[in-house]
Amino acid sequence: MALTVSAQQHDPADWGGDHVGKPVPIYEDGNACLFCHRTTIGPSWQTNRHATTIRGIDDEVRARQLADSPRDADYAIGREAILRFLKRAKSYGTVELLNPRWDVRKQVWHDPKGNAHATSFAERCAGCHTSGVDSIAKTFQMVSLDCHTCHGIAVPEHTEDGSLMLLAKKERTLPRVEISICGACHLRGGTSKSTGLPFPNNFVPGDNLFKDFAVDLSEKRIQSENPGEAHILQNTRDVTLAGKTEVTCTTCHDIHAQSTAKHVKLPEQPLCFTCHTQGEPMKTIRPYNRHSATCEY
Amino acid sequence: MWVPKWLRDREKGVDSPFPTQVVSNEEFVPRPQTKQQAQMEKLIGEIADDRSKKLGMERRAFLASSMGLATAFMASNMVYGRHWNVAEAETIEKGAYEEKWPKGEYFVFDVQTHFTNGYNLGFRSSPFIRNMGFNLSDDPEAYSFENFVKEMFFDSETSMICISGVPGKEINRGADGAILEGKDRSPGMLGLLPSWLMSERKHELNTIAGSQRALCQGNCAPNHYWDKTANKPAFNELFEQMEREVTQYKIDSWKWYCHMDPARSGNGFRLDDEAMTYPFYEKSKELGLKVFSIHKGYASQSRTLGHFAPPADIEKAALAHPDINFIIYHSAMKHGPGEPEFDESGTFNPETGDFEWHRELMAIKKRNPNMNNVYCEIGSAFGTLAIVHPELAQHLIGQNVKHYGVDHVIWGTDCLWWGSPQWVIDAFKRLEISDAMCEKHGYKKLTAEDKAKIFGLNAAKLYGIDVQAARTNFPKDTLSRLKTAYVDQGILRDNAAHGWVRAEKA
Repeated sequence: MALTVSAQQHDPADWGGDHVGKPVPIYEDGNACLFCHRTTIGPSWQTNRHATTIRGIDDEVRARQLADSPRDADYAIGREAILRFLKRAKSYGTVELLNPRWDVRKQVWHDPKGNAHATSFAERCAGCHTSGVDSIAKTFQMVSLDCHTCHGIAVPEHTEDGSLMLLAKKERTLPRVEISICGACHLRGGTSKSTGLPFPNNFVPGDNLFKDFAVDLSEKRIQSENPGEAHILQNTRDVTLAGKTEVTCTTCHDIHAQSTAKHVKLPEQPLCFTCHTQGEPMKTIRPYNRHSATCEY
Repeated sequence: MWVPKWLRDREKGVDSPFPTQVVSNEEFVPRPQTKQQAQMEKLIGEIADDRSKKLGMERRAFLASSMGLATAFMASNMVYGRHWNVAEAETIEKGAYEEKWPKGEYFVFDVQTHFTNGYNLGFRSSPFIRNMGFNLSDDPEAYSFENFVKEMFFDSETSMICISGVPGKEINRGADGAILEGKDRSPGMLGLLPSWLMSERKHELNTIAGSQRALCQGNCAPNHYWDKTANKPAFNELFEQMEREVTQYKIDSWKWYCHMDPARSGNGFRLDDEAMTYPFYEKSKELGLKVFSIHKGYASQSRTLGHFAPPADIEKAALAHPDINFIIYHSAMKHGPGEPEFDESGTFNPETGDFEWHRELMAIKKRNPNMNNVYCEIGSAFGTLAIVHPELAQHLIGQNVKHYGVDHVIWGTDCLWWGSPQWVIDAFKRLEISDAMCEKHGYKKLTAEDKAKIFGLNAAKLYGIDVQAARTNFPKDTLSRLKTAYVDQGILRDNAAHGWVRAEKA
């Protein structure tokens, strides 16, 4: 990889604020958002990966024909590497993570008779797979990601002025704000300074992620990572340390269309070579597998 | 290549009151125009050319008139088969429409009407509406109460309305425990159409009119106040709000969305949940309110809670509470006209006429022929099907009447989401269930008496409205006088659609 970083580095935490220590804001229910956005967002949202970070077990079993899935499971989590199962707990905003796991790559079950872990989900998975997470109470408000996870807290006036919502078509979100929003889940290996959990504490879109969330953005780490992680870390480094603004996540990723078609329009630059190999045709992508200690694959 | 539909229509000289091609909103690849749509478009154009020349009218003015609408219905019959009662004379004689369909023939009581607290919800510029050829204004003013009164009463022959709730809850008390009032009860997005506002506007309208023209619903539902410690409904708060809505707001029905979660309880609720929902029924009975209006169907609004939108939970609840009337909104139709699954194989069975989730609603009645407290409301379902799938519209009405009985089908339109409801009223007046469908599926031919029941008499009975007195009082009230003055102005509708279509099919 041929990556560059400006000699003059910024402090990623040197702007904005956060919601650490404050109450979890009351979010608008994404189901209510779809009351109005049903024709534009509704149809594609049913299968959007952000909306399906956790799926109903019936859908998952039907899709994968997993007849041996745990009988007491209510939800499934994971997709391409490991598929795990969740059971609703009695207390508010919690689920139990069941031990049996389906290895998607090898097509085998691991620990098929294992017991449930009540706390594992809240301490590892909740931050990026649920909405309205309270890191202290270890609860969440809704499974999967709701609209506010990316677009922030809705104000009624946005119905007339779309620019009032973050990452809306009419709103040009500042690159550092956008990096914070996407990075809250996609910057793996980070730790909350206030809770020690592997996801930020009460992050609200518009916050500066790096006030509470410590991530190793060193060149050494980037060099050691697979392209999937490396390009995220490199872009974060470009924006937050070097102050670059030309390329952010949505420059390449169209989230609602689940498409990266836009990225081919980018002029060639060092970031390209996290996945492509310099000197070789751009259609060639370096093969890789992603791994995560937190997610246990 | 895609081009705006209005540009393509202008180039082709198309100006149709009905959709002749599915329009995209830029999120989807536009579907090519079908042979039938092209044929209908050609027919409308040819007939309009002929009639407008003969009448010495501008073509656009002709298509915007009742004769233009009759032309579209006639062209639809010519292409899809006879679904609509339309005489050729209505396409060329101005007076033929008024003579055949005299205004005031029916007592029209629309139980599903909405406005907002001045917020634009984007319905009125949706692909479906643009498909219709409507060019409705889509700004906060268009969703206002003032425009609501204009479109519901002045632009249509609707006699009575029920202001129907949208998802949202009210906050009873502030952080200091003090009871909140007015706007403070519904901050932020909760303020779209809260119960207090529906109630205020109902009373305002009735006061201005000098007669009872409006009823209203209350949004309160079993999961609106949540005790996170016990992880169950906060019944004290819930009952406090119920009492407020019934005794202070004087609501006429509840409006429930089982697949919404404004309290962030983490879930929706089922109608047949004995622990969570039955206490609400009992409290409501104690308060004297026994009409429950339930949104069922249209689940694309909810991915995470969509499993609460099918009608399967009605059966047990209705059987257990025979003294409560359940009005099932949208007749539990699963897909809206803008959804890709709408007409796909398996969703609709043309052999049986069954379609999702309406099929489940019909099955409930088939299993329980003596169950008489469930009603099928047809808001949005009939209007949209009439336009995009006339055959399915016949199945909707045919099955509702066949299984639930003509006295258990309730008129609703979901307007002003779709502009003034007059186009839906016109479509229902003209609806004919074909001989072939009656023979094959056992449907009943609708008589004028049947239509009168569906248009309003059934809802009037449910809500205890004296129709005879209303029909005597309404023509003399202030609203009627204002309408007369308004109608004298005469306004043309704009048929320009603003979506995108494939240029190569143009």
